[in-house]
Amino acid sequence: MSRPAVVDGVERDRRHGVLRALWHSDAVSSLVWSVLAVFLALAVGGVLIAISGGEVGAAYDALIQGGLGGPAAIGATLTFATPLILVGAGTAFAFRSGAFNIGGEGQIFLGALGAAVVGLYVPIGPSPVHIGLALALSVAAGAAWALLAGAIRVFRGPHEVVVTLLMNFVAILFVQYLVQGPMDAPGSGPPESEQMLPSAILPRIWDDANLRLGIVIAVLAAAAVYYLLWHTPRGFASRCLGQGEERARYAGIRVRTTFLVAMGVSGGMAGLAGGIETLGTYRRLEFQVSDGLGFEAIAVALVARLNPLAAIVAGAFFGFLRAGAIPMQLVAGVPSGLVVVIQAVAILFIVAGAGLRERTQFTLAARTMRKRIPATETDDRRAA
Amino acid sequence: MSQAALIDFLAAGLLTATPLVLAACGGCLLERAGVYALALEGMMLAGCLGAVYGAVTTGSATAGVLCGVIAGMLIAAVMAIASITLGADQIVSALAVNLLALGGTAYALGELFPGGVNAGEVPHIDTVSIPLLSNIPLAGPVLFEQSLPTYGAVGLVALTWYVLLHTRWGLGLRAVGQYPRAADTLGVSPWRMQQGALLACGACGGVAGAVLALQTAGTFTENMSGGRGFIALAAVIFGRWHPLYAGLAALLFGFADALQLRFQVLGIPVSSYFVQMIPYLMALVALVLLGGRAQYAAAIGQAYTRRNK
Repeated sequence: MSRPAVVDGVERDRRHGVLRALWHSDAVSSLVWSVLAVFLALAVGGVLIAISGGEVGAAYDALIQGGLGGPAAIGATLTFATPLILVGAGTAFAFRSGAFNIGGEGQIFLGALGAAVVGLYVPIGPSPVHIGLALALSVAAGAAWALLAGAIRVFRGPHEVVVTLLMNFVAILFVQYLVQGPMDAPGSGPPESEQMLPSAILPRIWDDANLRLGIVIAVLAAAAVYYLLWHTPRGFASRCLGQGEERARYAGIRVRTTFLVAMGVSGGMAGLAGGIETLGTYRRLEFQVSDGLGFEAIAVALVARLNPLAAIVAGAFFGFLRAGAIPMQLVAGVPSGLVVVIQAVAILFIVAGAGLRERTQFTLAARTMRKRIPATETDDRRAA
Repeated sequence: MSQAALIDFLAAGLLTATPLVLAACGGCLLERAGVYALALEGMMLAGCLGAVYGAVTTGSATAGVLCGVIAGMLIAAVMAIASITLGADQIVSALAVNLLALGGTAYALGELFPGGVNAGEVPHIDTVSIPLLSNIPLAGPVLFEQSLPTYGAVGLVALTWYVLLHTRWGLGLRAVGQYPRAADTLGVSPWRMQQGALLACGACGGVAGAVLALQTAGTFTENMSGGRGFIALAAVIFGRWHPLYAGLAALLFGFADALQLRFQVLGIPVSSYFVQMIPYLMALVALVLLGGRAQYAAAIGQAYTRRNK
């Protein structure tokens, strides 16, 4: 166990017997509660399907076929999963640090814009360089937008949830203005940019499934965030801050910096998601880069119990729901909106379960931060 | 701007501000009681659909508004069960509840209106001109030719102000938001208070949604609240959780929203996308300017428990 006892309850609980330690251990309870919540949510979805006169069996059959039946379906699942894994892992990092970055949606749009600018207008070098530069700019754009929100919180005081929510609308409208106006490809029907330059397009890695490199990048990035969170001093500081601002300050952690890092990492991941969507999935800058992926990623992060590695699995599951939802609606006549309801119910079951057990691990403790975050002594020393 | 255009703009500003003011009242109550009011967005959206359904089936806008209130309270009830009764994290459950409203209204829209809402069938909230007063130049047509909900919004602000700051119940509510243990020791149940505040907020959000659907839009479209719940919340914070100031802030943001239409009418050469940003930018700038003076209720966001921590 490399986790310090002060953060993880496992060490403390081990004294009370193996069963209790298992019950309280992050890994086991995560799995049990998340799976249970998802199944309960699917059951609620089944009831709704039945109410609207659909056949529940046929509907879920269509869901599974559409999400897992054959290479094309699996490819669709993984393609939908890619941005969810990225934003989900970033959100997990942010929430663990007590930074409620709800601005994933806007950060995705700006990340897409960053990648598109390089992918369309900067014909540079061989393909890996071009892609690398485009994705780097997408990360920078997403991170910068999130950092702006973080700075407003840290230096001016208003809660980052409201700030990031409002900033979403500004970012989305800005990108949509560009796609509708200056960047619109002439003569095309729906507003969208020209196709990316060939060297900027992410290569296919599985032709039958029409699957591109993005999923690999997503998995690697999520693993990197996991490493950062659990195996570096920076991550320790983040988790400490997530346990409570006062405690973190007492432990000598630079609260402001740690908060901003959390915003930057989660914003960068969302930006990367937008970049991959643009270079891989759409290969154009779309008018509607994301239809709520940023919010769905919150569900992903929660189902993964704020564990970036588990976000890979949770993201794949939500990608499966998205991929299967289309045939489910077409074949089984399931009304639209149902998948969103299933997501919402899953989140509610998960947080209600966590609240019931009063798991301090999960109580997102930065809720105690409510004013400007005063600089800690270490902050001041660094500044001096 | 000619006088007619000015009157037009001011009247339209009051119209768009009405839902924001109504929602802001609920937000004030709720956040003073120590619960984040992020779910206002979902309450408004549910209120929109509830109002349209009620109005179309009964043919009466009043019944529609009532149904909107019920829909908003339903969302509030879900939030209350999750975050107060079961002690779930408020921010996350509010976001989940918003998602539930988004998906739930899309689902219910298909169930209740299989062929879509026919905007022509939706009864509209009529404007009421107050005799004599509406003949005053400029102020008359702006202030006294509005609909009942707009007058009602003014009344609700006053009512919220009175209830929150000048009644026993309001005192208990604020105590729960500041120091729930003290309130609990004195026999004021934090859970009951917060559940009550949530339901009241749900009613306000529901009315706001109903007004948005039946007065401003005249129909229901998916996600039609479009972040107005969050703008109302920004108004609450900008108004420093005081109903009167929050109402004024909501009025300000409402006028910013009304600029959208005016810019187009006046032919000012600015992209509509930038004009649409104005209310959000204004809310953001307001929050930044307010700065560190923002003082949330001391116990906001914490699920109350009698156990010692």
